[in-house]
Amino acid sequence: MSSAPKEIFRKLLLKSAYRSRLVLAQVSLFAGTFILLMAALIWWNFQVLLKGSDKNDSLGSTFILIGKNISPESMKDRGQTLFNENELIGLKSIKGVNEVAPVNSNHFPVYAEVGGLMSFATDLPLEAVPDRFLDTLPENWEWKEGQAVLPVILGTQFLDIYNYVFAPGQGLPQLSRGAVKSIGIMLKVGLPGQQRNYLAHIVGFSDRISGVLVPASFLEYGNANFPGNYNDPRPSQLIVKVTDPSADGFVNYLKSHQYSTNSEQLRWNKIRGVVTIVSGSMGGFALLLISIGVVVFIFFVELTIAKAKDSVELLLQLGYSSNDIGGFLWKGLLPKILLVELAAGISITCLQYIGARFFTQTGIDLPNVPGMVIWGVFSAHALILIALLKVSVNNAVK
Amino acid sequence: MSQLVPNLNNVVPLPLEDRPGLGQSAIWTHNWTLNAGERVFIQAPSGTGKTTLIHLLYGLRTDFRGTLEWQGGQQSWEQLRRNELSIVFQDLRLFPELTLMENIEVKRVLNSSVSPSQIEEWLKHLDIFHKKNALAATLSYGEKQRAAICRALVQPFSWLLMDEPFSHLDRHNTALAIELIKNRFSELNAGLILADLDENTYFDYNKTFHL
Repeated sequence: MSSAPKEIFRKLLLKSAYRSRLVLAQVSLFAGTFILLMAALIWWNFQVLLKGSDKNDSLGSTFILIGKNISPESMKDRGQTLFNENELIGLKSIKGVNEVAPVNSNHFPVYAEVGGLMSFATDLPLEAVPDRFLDTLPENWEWKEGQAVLPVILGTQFLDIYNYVFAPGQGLPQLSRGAVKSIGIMLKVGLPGQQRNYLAHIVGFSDRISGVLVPASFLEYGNANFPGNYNDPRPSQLIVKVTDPSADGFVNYLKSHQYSTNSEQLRWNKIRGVVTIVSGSMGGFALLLISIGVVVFIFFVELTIAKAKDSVELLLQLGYSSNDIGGFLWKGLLPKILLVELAAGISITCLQYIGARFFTQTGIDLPNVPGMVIWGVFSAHALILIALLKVSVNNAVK
Repeated sequence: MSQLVPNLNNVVPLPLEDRPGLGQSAIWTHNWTLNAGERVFIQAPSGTGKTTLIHLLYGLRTDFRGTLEWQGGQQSWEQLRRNELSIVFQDLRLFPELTLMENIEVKRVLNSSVSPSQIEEWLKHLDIFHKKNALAATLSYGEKQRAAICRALVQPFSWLLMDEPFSHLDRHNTALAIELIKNRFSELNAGLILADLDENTYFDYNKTFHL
C-alpha cells in the first residue's frame, strides 16, 4: 500500500458512528461464534461420554459384562459356560466393539472375617479385570507378592445388598461408604491347613462391576499358588467396551451365540438419539446465528464504505488503487475480527473448564479443555469468516 | 522527459453526439495528438465539452465513441495518475473534512517527490500558508483553487491538465500561481493542457485548439 498517512485515511474512510457500529457488529459476530462453538462443544462432550471415556461408565455406559446363558445342558457341563480364546477374538471382531477382557475369578477358597460390632464371616468370591476397565482407580490400587495388605474395590450393588437386605435382617449396622473404608477384613486364603491371611481394605466403589474386585496381580498369584476345587483358567464372564451396546450387529451376535448381558444398556441408545437430535438442532440454530453475525459484519463493512463513497471515489481519482483503500480498511478490521475470535476461543475454553469442574462433582469425568474437534471447527469457522470479510471489503471498495 | 502523448481518434462524447456543428471542433471527430512537453490551450465556449475533454484525458469518463489512449508510457490509469498525469479540476475536488495541508499531503505521499517544507514554501508563495490547518470546507473558493493547484504540483508528471484553473483568482494571485506552475514545469519538462473559456496569455502556448 502507498504510505498514505493513516490518520488522514481514518478521517476520510471511518466516518461518524463508526465505533458504535463496529462494537455492534463485533457483539453479533461474537454471539454467533460463541453459540456455534458451544453447540460443537456440547455435541463433542456427549460424544466423549457416549463413546465411553474409561471413567464414565455410570453415565454413558459402554462397558458391559457378558456371560453365557445358563441352560439345563450347560448345568451338566460346567465348561460350557466358560469363554475360550476364539470366542474372545470373535467378539473383538464385531464392529463397534472396542475392547474385550476376561473377568477373572478366584479358583481358590477365600474366607472373610470381620470382627467388632458387625462381626460376621463368609466365603467370598473375588474378581479382577485389567485396570483400564475400572471406573475408579484408587491411588493405592496395587498388590505385589509378599504384600499382606490387599486393596479391594466393592461393587456399589454389593454394598447396597448388604445395607438394605443383609444388615437389617441380621441385626447388623448399616454402613456408609466412609465407614466401610475404615473396616479391616481378614481374608483367609487357601484350603484349610494351607491358609494364608491377608488384611483387606476397601479403597473404592464401582458402579460398573457388582462383585468384589481385587488387583489382577493378586488373582493371578492366588490362582497359580493356592490349590482349589476347580482349576479351569477360562473366564465365565467378559467385560466389553462397546460404542453402542444396542447396535444391531452387536445384539444379533450376542443372540446367535446365546450370550447374555444387561438389557439396561439398551436405554443408552435412546439417550444417544435424543442427544444427536438436540445437538444437531442446536448446531443448526448456531449456524443460523453465525450466518446472521457474519451478515451483520458484512453490512457494517459495506455501510462504512458507502458512507465514505465520495472520499473513496476521489482517492481513486488522485491515484490510489482500490487495493490501497481496501488494504487500509482490512488492516484495521482484521485485528478486530481476530479479537472477537480470540474472545470466543477463550470463552469456550473457560466454559469447558468450568463445566468439567462442575460435572466432576457429580462423578462425570469430562476433559478440562476443548478437544481437537472444537479447535478444528473454530479454525474452519475463522478461516471462512476472514475469507468472506476480505472478499466483502474488496468488493465494496471496487 | 517522458514521451507520453495523448492520441484521440474520432472521439465524440456521447452527450455531445447530437450537438450541431460538432464537425467544426478541432478535436471532436478528428485524429488529435500532441507532442511531449507541448503547452496547449483549449479554448472552449460553455457547453462545447471542455470539462468532458479534460475528464476523458484523465480517464474519468468512458461515455464516448472513438478511441483514446496515452501512448508511450505506463498504461494503467492508477499509474498514469500517480506518475504521469496531474490535474486541477474545475470543481477543485478537495476533501472538505481534511485541512488544507492534509489535502496536499494525501497526494504527496503517493510519490514523496516533494518535501513538506517545499510545500510550505509554495503555500507561503500563494499566500495561503496561514490557512494550512484550516478545514477545506471553511476555505474561500480562491483559497481552495490555490490549494488544488498546490496539490496538482506535488507529484511528478509529464502532463498537467487544468480546467479553468484561475477562474476565482484575482490578477495578483493568478500571477503568483502561474509563476509557481512555471517553476515546477522547468523542473519537470512537462507538457500542459489548459482549458478555458476565453483567450489568455497565462503561458507561452505552442498550440491553441478551438473546441
